[in-house]
Amino acid sequence: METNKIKRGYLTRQEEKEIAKENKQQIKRLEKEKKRKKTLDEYTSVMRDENNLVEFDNLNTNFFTERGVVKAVNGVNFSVKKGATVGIVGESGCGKSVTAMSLMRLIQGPMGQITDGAIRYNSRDGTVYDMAKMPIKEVYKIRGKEISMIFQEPMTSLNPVVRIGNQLDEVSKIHLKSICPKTGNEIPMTKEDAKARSIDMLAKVGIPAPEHVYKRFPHELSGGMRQRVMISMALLCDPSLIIADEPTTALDVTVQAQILELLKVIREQFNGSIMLITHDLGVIAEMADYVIIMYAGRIIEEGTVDELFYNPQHPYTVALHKSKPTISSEGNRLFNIPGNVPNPINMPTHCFFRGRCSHKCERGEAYPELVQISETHKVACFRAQDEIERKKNEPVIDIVANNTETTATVDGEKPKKKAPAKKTATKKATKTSE
Amino acid sequence: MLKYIIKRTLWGILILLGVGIITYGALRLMPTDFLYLRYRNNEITYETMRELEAQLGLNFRVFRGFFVWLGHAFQGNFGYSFTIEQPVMQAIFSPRMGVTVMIVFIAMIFQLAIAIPLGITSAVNQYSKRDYTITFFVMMLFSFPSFFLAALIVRVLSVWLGWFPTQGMYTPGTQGFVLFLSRIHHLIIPIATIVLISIGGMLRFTRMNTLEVLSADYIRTARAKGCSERTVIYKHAFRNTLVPFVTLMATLLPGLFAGSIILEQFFAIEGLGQMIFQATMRGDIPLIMGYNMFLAVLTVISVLLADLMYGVVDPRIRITK
Repeated sequence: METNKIKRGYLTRQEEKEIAKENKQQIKRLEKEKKRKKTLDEYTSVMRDENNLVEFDNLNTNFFTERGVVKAVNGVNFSVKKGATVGIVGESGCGKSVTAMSLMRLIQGPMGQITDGAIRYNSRDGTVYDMAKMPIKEVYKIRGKEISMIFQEPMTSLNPVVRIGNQLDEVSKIHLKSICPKTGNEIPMTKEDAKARSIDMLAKVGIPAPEHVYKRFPHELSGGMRQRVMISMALLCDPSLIIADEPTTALDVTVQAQILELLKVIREQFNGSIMLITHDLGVIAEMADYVIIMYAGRIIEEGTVDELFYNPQHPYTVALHKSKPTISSEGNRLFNIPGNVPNPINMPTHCFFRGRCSHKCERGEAYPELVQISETHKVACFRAQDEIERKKNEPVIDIVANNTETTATVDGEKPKKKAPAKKTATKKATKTSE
Repeated sequence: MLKYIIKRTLWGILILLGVGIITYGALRLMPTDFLYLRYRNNEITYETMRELEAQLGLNFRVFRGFFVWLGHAFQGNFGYSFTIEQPVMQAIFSPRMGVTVMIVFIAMIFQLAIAIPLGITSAVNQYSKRDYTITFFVMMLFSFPSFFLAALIVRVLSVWLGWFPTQGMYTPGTQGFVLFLSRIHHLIIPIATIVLISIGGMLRFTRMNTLEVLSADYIRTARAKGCSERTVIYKHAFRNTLVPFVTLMATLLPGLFAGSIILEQFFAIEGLGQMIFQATMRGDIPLIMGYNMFLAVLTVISVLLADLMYGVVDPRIRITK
């Protein structure tokens, strides 16, 4: 039936009804779960590694559309270390933003829902919260204070009818405290303190005449200025994590350079972590310590910047590098990856990159598991698996294989048995078919 | 700014002229003839009839008649009502005006107080049971003709349950505070009818605008800041829904005045609406012209005010011309 649908290219009335019914049930169940009163134990957890700030554990975020379920984020596992900058790269619609939005709990319901998995956040008071299960009222206390976000559209991300100053002050007033001069008690931040803080922050992000800008409306500022305002808003409460969701995409090139320069300065001075979402590999090379490459809702490769730039393993990563324009290749046609991303509804069971892959890999039994190549480097590709298998059988490389295993346990991945990769793959297939 | 206001005022005068021509033409085309209705049972000679027509200014053809009326109007003389036998301006700006304005204002306040929160609730919970229930009932009320809904309410609340009087404005013979209570008691059903009928349009408008605003990027930013859902909706979203709302406000007041015509007649409330209803039934041309011009002026002023209000609610709009 599934294949029929794809072949036909449209849905019959009957199928549409079935989908709507199924969606309704799912959404009702998930919404009920969200609204349920929870005890603290239910949404607190323990970090796998205390040095991590955020751990995504098998995150699944789905959108229940009229045409079927879109698995925007499909079992994503990764972690953000304290103080590190993690870059998430991928093409449009691969789930980078949805991953970040899931962490912030900004997925627009009832259509979008986190269906499975955990997002562990190591908060400042030492408690580890599971953001995916946290009641929304508790999330308010973390949003904007400990985790803040810079959005990609500075032109529309500021409220057009509220003055810049008020929009900035609001953040301080919600989250910060000032000391009452009379009683010495902590009270919600006063207007004067908030204003001083906002102006100070505007000056820090390089806005000339901050007192003047403080009184302006968003439409009176240029795109670059607005993005600076957004950045200052994100920095106001000195967060532990800043999520920058394509912060330079909507800006023109010279302004992009300025904003990137600013982000680099912030990265140096700021002692929290940064999650940088972008589809610009150049930005990643300059900013990130650790890189995640996403494709069609899954992580296909992750590793340090050096590993991914000098030793890319997944054919998609390799192709991404190839399709980047360089000064030396002037005049030549840019490389492009043939084919299209599979339809997000009815994703294939085989590797999502099959058919576009330069290796012409035809293995169709299951989606390849992430395999460890070095301590930090992981890739989801059959070829890499085969490579490891081959190396394992050679006595010389045995050290590497052992190495892989030990780090796997440390890193929080499911410790891989020495079973052949093929077997794990089939295991996974049976699991999904359940 | 001043230039803009002057320009708009001049346009307004042109509009009023157009309204005047159309109203006068329509009135003269009506089969209702004041003199015929009045003297149909009397024996009257042809000459006397012509004489009376000349006295009332009905001897002219439509265009000439209009310009005669206009000439007088420019001198501040809106004529003399045939039926009430008072100068038109005196008849309009009378205690009846007070009654209508009071009813209209109270109805408007209730309308805003009910329609806006309900509209926002139904937008925030889009496609939920609450949304469907609100939309269904409100649209049902909205689709009723006013006299029918009024009759329905009177039938249930006054005739069957006997909670409220069916007609009138107060119980005769009461005084002081009792009179005041009696007035409130009498006005509840008329005001409720106006409110129930008029919330439909406004609620739909609020719902639509709120939905649009809630999907905007700055709402996501507000959520990301850590604002509670309440702050997000009532501070960030609501102020943005006000922008298109101003347009609706422009026609709200004149619309309510017009709507009160039938209901005042129905409930025998001695307001302007009732007076105009009776004037229309009896072909009282000067009074109808006067009242229509009053409504037209009110509309023109409201629209001008609404345009100026845009600049207040949305800082991106600045009136420069």
